[in-house]
Amino acid sequence: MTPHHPRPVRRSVRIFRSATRPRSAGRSAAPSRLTYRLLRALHPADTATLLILTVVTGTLAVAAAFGAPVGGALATHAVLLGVFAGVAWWLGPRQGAIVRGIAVIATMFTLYTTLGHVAFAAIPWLADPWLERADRALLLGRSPSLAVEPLAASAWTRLLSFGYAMFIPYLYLSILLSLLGRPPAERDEFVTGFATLYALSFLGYLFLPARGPVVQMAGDFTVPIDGGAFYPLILRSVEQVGGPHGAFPSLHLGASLFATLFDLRHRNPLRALIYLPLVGTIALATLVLRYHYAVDLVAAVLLAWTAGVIARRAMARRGETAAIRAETAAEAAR
Amino acid sequence: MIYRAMRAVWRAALRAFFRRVEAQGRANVPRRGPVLIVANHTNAFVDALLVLTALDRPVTLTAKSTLRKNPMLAPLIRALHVILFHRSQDVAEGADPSRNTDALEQCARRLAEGGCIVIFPEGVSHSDPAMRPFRTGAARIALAYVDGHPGGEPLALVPTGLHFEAKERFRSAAGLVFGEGMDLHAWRRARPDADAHALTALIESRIRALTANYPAERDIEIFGRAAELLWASGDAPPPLGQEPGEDWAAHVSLVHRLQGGREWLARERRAELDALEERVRAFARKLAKLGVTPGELFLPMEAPRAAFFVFREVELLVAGAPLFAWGWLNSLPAYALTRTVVRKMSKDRDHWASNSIFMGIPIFLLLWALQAIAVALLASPGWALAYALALPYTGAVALLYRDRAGSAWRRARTFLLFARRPEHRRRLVDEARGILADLRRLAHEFEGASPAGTAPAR
Repeated sequence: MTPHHPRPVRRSVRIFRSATRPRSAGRSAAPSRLTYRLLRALHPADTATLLILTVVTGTLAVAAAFGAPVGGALATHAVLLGVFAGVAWWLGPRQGAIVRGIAVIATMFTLYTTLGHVAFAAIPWLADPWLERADRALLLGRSPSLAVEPLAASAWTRLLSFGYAMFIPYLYLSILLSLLGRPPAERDEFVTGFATLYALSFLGYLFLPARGPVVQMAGDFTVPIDGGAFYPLILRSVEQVGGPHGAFPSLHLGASLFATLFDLRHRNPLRALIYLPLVGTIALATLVLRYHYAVDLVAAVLLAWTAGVIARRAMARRGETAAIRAETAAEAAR
Repeated sequence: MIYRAMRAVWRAALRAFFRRVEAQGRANVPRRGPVLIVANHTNAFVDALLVLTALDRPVTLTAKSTLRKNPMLAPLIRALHVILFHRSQDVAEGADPSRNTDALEQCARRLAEGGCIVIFPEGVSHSDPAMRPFRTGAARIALAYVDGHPGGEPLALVPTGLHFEAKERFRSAAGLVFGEGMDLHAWRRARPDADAHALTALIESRIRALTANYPAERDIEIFGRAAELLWASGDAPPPLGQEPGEDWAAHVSLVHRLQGGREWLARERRAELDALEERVRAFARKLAKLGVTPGELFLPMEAPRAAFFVFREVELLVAGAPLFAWGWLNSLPAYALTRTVVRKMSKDRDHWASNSIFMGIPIFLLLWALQAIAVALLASPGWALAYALALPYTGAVALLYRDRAGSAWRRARTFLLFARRPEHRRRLVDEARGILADLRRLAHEFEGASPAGTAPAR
C-alpha cells in the first residue's frame, strides 16, 4: 500500500485547461479589426513594449509640436520603436524565445535611462507636490519621509544602503535565471509580466514626472544620510543616470517584488523566501534614502501584483488560441 | 473559527513533515450538501488530517472511542465535535459497542445538516501491503441517512485513496485522490433491497480502484521498481525546483496495469515473468548500490547544462545560507525534542508521522515561546516580537533549503559519478532501455490478449 515515486503531474495542464474555455472560441472566430488582429498576432510582451514605446514617442511628438526641446529624444525613441517593431515582427508570436526576453528587457532598461529626464522637458507639470500631499494623507498629515528621517543617521541606514545596492544584482540574477532556467511557457510569462510592469511604471514616469523627496523636500530634512560604504556607490549610480527622476512608482520595489512573487508562484518558493527580506529592505531603503514617497511604494506593490495577473491571463489566452488553432487544424485534417 | 485555526495549523504541520502534499480530484467533493468520504487507512491521525486540510469545507472526523482517554486529545475531540465509535476490539479498554447507535445517529444528524463526514471503513490503521477487510459502519451510516431522509438532499459518497511515498519518513511525499462521487439516493432507488454488506462491497471496490494493493510485501518493491523505470522512460529529469507534483492517480493506474499484465504473464509464460522480475530486481540493486534513481540515469551530461546547474544552485545555496543557519539553529531544540519524544512514543510505523505532527505542534510552539521570552529578557520586547515572527519563516526556509541542498548534492554526485565512468553509465542506460523495451513489448502483447484498457500503456 506504499507506492514509490509516482509520476509527476504536468503543471502545464492548468494553462491548457483555461485554454479550452468556450467563451473565447467564439471570440477568436469573430472578425476583428486590423489593429486588434495585429495585437493578437504579436506576443503579449512585444505588445506591451510596443505600446509604451508608441505612447512615449507620440507624447514626445506632441510636446515637440508645442515647442518643447525634445527633438533629440523624439528621434531616439522613434528609432527605438522602429528597431523593436522590427524585432517583434521577426520573432512573431513564437513561444519561449530567449531573444525576445533579451530584446524586451534591453528596451525597457534603455527606456529607463532615456525617459526619466525627457519627461520633465515634455510634460509641463511636476508631480512632486501632488505626491507629497498624497503621502501626507497616507500618514494622516505627517510626511512618511520625515517620519523615517531619524533612521538616516543610524547604523540601519548602512544596512539599508547595502540592500538598495543589492537590487541590481538581484534583478539581473532573476532575469538570467528566468530566461535560461525556466521552461518556455514560464519564460514567456516572466517576460510578459516584466514588460507589463515596466510599461505601466513608465506611464507614471512620463505623465507624473517627479524627482522624489530628495529634491522636493531637500529643505525639510535636517539629518544628513550616513549610508556607509555602499551609499557613495548608490549616489554615483544615480548621478550616472542624470540625477533623481522617475519617482512614481518605485521600480526598485516593483521589479524586485515582481521577481519574488513570480518565484513564489512558479515552483521556486525557496528562492522567493530567501529574497523576501531583501525586497523589504529595498522598500524601506527607498524611503529612508529619500528617493521615493510612500505612495510610490504602494503603487509599486499594486503594479507588481497587477503585472503578474496580466501576464498569467495573457499566457492563458495565448494557450487558448493555440488550443483552438490545434483543434481547428485537427478537424480540418479529419 | 477554532476549526479554521486548527486546520491552518495542521496544514502547516503537514507541510513541515511531508515535502509535498498533492490533493487530486477535489472537484469530486461537493462544496455543500451531505457528503460521506470513505478512505483507506494506513497512517493513523495523518489520514484524517490529509482529508481535512485538502478541503475548504468543514469536515467531521470519526475516531475510536478510546482516544477520548488521551488527556491531550480529549479537548480537541470536544472542540472539533469528533464522532466517536466504540470498537469491539477495544472493549477491554472501556469501549461499549452498544453505544454505537448514538454515534450512528450523530452521523445521520450531521449529514441531515448538510455536513461532510470522513470515515475509514477498515476500522484500523495498518501497514499491510493491501487493504484490510471493510467493516459495515460506513455503509450503515450512509443507508441510515438515505432511508431516514428519502426526499432529503442527495448524499454524495466520495471514495478516496490516500498515498504515501514512505509514510514514516520525514520530508517524503504524500497525497490523496478523491474519486468520483456516488449519489447514494439514486443508488438506493435502483437497489431498494440492498443491505449494508452490498454497499460495503461497492465502497471497497471503489477505494481499491484508487489505491495500490499488493498480495505480499515483496511485491511492493518489484512493482515500485518497474513503475519507477516506466516513469523515467528515458527522459531527462526536470531541473531541481521545477519538479512537478506527484500524480498519484496515474501511478495507481500504472500499478494496476502492471498487476494485470503480471497475472497474465504468470498464467501464460511463467519462466519469462521470473526472468524479467529477476532482471528488474538485479537492475534495481545495481542502481541502489550506486545511490542513483532510474530518473537520474538519464541526467543530461552536457558541460553547459552542468555549468548552469552549478551557477543556479550555488546562487541559491549561498544566498540562503544565513537564513538556513538561523532557522536551523533556532528550530533545532524543538526538532530534537520532538524526535526524542516521538521515538519513545511510537511503537510501529503507523504512528511515527502522526506522533511527529501531533507532538511537534505543541513542542515547537512551547520552545519557540520560551526562546522568544529569553530574547525579551536579554534584549527587548520589540526584538522578541521580531524574533518570534521570524521563527516560523526561517524554520520554513531551513526545511526547503535542506531539501534543495540534499537534491543538489545528490544530483551533483550522480553527475560526477557518471562523468568519471561514462562507460558504466552507458551500460546502465542500455540495460534500462532493454528492460523498458521488454515491458513495452509485453504490454503490447497483453493488450492484444486482453480487453482494452487493462494493459500497461507506457
